[in-house]
Amino acid sequence: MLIILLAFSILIRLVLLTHPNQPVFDELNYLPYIQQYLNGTPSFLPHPPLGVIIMGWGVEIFGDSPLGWRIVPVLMATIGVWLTYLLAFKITRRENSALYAAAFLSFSPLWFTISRIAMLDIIMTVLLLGAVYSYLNKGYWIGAVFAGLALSTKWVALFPLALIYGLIWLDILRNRQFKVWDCLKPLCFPLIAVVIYFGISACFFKDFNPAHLVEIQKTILKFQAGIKGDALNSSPAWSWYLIPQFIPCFNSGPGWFDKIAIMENPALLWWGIVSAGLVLERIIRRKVTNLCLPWLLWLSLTLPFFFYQRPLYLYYLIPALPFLYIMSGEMLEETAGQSFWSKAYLGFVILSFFYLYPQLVMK
Amino acid sequence: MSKTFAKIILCMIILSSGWVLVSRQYALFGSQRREAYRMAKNSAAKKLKPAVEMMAADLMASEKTGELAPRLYPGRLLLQQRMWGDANQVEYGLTPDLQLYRKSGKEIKILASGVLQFWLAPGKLPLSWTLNITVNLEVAGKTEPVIFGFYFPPPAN
Repeated sequence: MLIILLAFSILIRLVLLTHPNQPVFDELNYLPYIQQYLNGTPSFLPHPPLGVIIMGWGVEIFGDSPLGWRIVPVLMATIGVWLTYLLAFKITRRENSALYAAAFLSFSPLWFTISRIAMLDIIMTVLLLGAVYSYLNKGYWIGAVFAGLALSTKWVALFPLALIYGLIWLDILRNRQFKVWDCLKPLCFPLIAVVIYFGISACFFKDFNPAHLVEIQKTILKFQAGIKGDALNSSPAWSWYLIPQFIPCFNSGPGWFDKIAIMENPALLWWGIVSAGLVLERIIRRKVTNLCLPWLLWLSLTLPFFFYQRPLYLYYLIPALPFLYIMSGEMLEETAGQSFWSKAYLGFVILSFFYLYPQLVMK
Repeated sequence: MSKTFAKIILCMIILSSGWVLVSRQYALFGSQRREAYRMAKNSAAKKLKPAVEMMAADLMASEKTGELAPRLYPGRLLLQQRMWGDANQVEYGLTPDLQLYRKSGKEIKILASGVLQFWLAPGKLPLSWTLNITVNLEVAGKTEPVIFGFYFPPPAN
């Protein structure tokens, strides 16, 4: 079933991928950076550079064309669905819960649309999923590598990674592992991540002067902190889960099928919120600890946005989606099981995806 | 929560989100097209010009003082920052189609290309239009007019 889901997931993303054949939405920002990087003249960008490097591979292989721009996010999104399944199965030990989680992500209109635009969010999320999965499998070293890679794509990975780092120490204290080697692992975790972070930045800019690299980080921080005010289509974080806003991101005419929209299915978010509440209840009252991790990770990727003083957009939800849908899948399996209602809900999610499909692909 | 209650919630979620999705689609293609066009045109002239003027002044200042190195501060980002303050009624995007020239023929260093797209609030239709804004810039003591051309939708490649 998973293979069918993954095959379907990549197929629906590849269909009409080259349409529109011109940059849309934030591609307008990132494509010049990719082109400059590939031309050997990288310029400052307001995020760490790994996303641009990775998307550059697509352009190198498939040329400076819509396929080249978008192929990497498409592949990463499908890997993200697979990793979500693995994570959900590892956490819940239930095949159905894991399949639900993967299906929710695969049929999420938000995950779908953003995965077909050359943007950083999907790439960062998948690298973060890699770090979390490595942590769950006690692969601290590889986890540190993924952490460095995720951080080198977008800074928002810092919150969940800090949480994982805290959990690593907690594991050591709880298991009373005080041998040097055991303590060395968590000490090396941030070190490896930081070395990877600055190493990627240095390679990108071909500038190995530490002072310059620090200066670049300051400039990014200054830039990000300087974004203030409101903008159309921005929406406060609390509203994402109530009535997720519709963001038109491309238009070629007045007709229904002439525009691409960024949106999320309210059914997914509303059940997600209910599930997060149910999970919290299980953690507190029933001491169910296995669901602590997705709950905390979801919180670490949601709560900070409540305090940001800058325009926020619905697609900032992207990194939180896998963790939210892991909880949704588990709660759906637990409360509705194999009943009519779990099938009806899943069916509704899939049907509404196809109902929205023309607006997600603009055709 | 009992399983029955969870099922009731699932049922409510399916019904209400179905209603939201259908009604929102309907609203998107409503009857406010003309009004939307008029509003976009007015807000373009009123709100974009000061934003572009501010951006142009910044560009000139940066060229003189060198405070904002072009490599570290691309003009399109600067333009975005300037826009956010004033363009509450419009959303924009920059594509490589905008040609930004100084009349002297010397291209402004930082902002190389882009096109402004207007998006209206949900429930109103996007539009097709062209907008040229002329801004006077002072370069080395002389005033030079610069035409900023915005058109929508961007021409297909």
